[in-house]
Amino acid sequence: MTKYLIIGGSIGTLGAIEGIRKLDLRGEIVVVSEERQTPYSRPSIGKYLEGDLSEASLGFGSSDFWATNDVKVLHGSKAVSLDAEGKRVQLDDGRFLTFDKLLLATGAKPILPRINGLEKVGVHTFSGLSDVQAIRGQLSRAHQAIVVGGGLIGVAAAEALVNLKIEVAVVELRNWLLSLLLSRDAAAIIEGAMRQRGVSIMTGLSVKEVEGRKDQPSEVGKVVLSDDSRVDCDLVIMAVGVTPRKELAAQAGVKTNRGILVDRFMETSIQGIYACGDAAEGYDFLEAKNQVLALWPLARLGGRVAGSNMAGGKTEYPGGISMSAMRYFGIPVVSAGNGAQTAPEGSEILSSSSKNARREIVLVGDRVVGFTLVGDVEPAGLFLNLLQTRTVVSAFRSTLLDPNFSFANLPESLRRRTLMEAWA
Amino acid sequence: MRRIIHNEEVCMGCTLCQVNCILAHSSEHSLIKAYRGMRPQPRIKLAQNRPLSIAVQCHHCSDPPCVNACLTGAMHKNQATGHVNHDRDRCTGCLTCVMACPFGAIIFEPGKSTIPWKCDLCPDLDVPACVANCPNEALVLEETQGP
Repeated sequence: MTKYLIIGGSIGTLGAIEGIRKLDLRGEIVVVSEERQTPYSRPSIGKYLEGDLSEASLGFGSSDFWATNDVKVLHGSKAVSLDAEGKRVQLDDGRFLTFDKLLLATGAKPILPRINGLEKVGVHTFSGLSDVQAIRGQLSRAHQAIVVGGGLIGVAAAEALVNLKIEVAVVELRNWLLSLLLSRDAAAIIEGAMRQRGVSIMTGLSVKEVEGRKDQPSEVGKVVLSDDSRVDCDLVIMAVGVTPRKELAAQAGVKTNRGILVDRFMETSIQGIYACGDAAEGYDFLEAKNQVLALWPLARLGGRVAGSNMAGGKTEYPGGISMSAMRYFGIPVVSAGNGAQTAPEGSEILSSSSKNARREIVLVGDRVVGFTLVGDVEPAGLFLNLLQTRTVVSAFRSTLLDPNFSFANLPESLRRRTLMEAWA
Repeated sequence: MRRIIHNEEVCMGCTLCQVNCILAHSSEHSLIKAYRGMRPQPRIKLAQNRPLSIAVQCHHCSDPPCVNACLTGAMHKNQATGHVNHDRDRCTGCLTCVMACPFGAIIFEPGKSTIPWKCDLCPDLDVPACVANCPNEALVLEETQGP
């Protein structure tokens, strides 16, 4: 009987269990999770903070997932060291767990810049349930928040806080918000909606220091920006990005780069040890190289591939790409692959704009390598289909910007292929 | 499981599938009442590229990209029926399913609802409303063994 050990308790782990149990119903599965509860939707913690989602609705999948899949979970446990040769992991309580196959689904942690004052009461990150629970505890006395970092997490945090009637300013180092995902033109629509809701946006700036209150120096009172201006606040959300949690792997001699390096089977440089999700540096099919793509759907997919291979299968990870769908301040946005801001040399950008809506399609040769839809996002899946299948679009490229672009615009061969794959 | 086959050669683009989808999902089940007040959204839509017309709806994929991508677990596959179901209470309207569906079959019209819609295969009807009311038999129901 194979002994599977999984470190981490979020979506990659769920995917891995799905993958393992498809092939092996008997093997023993043990999960070590630092979280005290069953997996929950991390991307939805903003909705939970606002009170839109209860803790029960925040839970991911069925509450009996562990039991149904015969999984033993050690909640609130942390793996502190990995002995790859001896095939065992030590936990923070000193216990050792042995394994035949190990999955490192350790996720990512928020990056904290080296600045003074981050220890003050009122400074939070925004990546897990414990963060938003801590923020909730301070809402009654929070009136002015500074969100440091205007990426996906920062904008989501700003939205939740604005909806809670807190005054919000976002400080972003780059020249526009969501700059990794969106072009300046696309981001401008979101920034406009944010300003309308009273958010002040400070770009080209960073935070140098968090200062305490005059009467209570241990609590947040101000932030000092890189231009030496000071902004009053009683809440600071640090959202400058996340970094893979690769310590366990690195310490055991598993090859790492920015993340834990994995091959197309999600196996690391050491046989029998796999990695997935935000901790891993997996294959990006558009860039044709490995890179960290900290995205929820890819974590589940990578987990499934890893699980299947851990259970003796031979499943290849198709590769991911940078992609994201979200509604920011009420405006739907989907972007995938290259945006106009990251368009490779020799690419061509088709774009159309109207009030509060924009479509950008990035082509290299006659193939879609990226797109951004703001406002009207309904055809997003069709563009992702064209991108993933590397379909030559020359015969219908004039229709790509048509507001009514639909499944009927795809070539017949692709329509057939899509249907065959759906029912395979 | 149930499967709806679309025969694009004979679809006339009459939109009766949409009308009957709205009707079947309305609380009144009366055409006139269904189109008054809070009109339900159709869960099927007509894609047109003249002369081609295709009624696009969820195909309840065997390995559904929307389920695999869903951020909350709202979109899920019922292992017993094989149907892809959408739990609207758990959905936050993040639109990841809209991005993932290769058919563009998840219906989302901004301003009308923050939560998208999709075909539920009319689980309470013997024959889904769109199939039963397609005048040209462009939509055909197929029952297959297993989920």
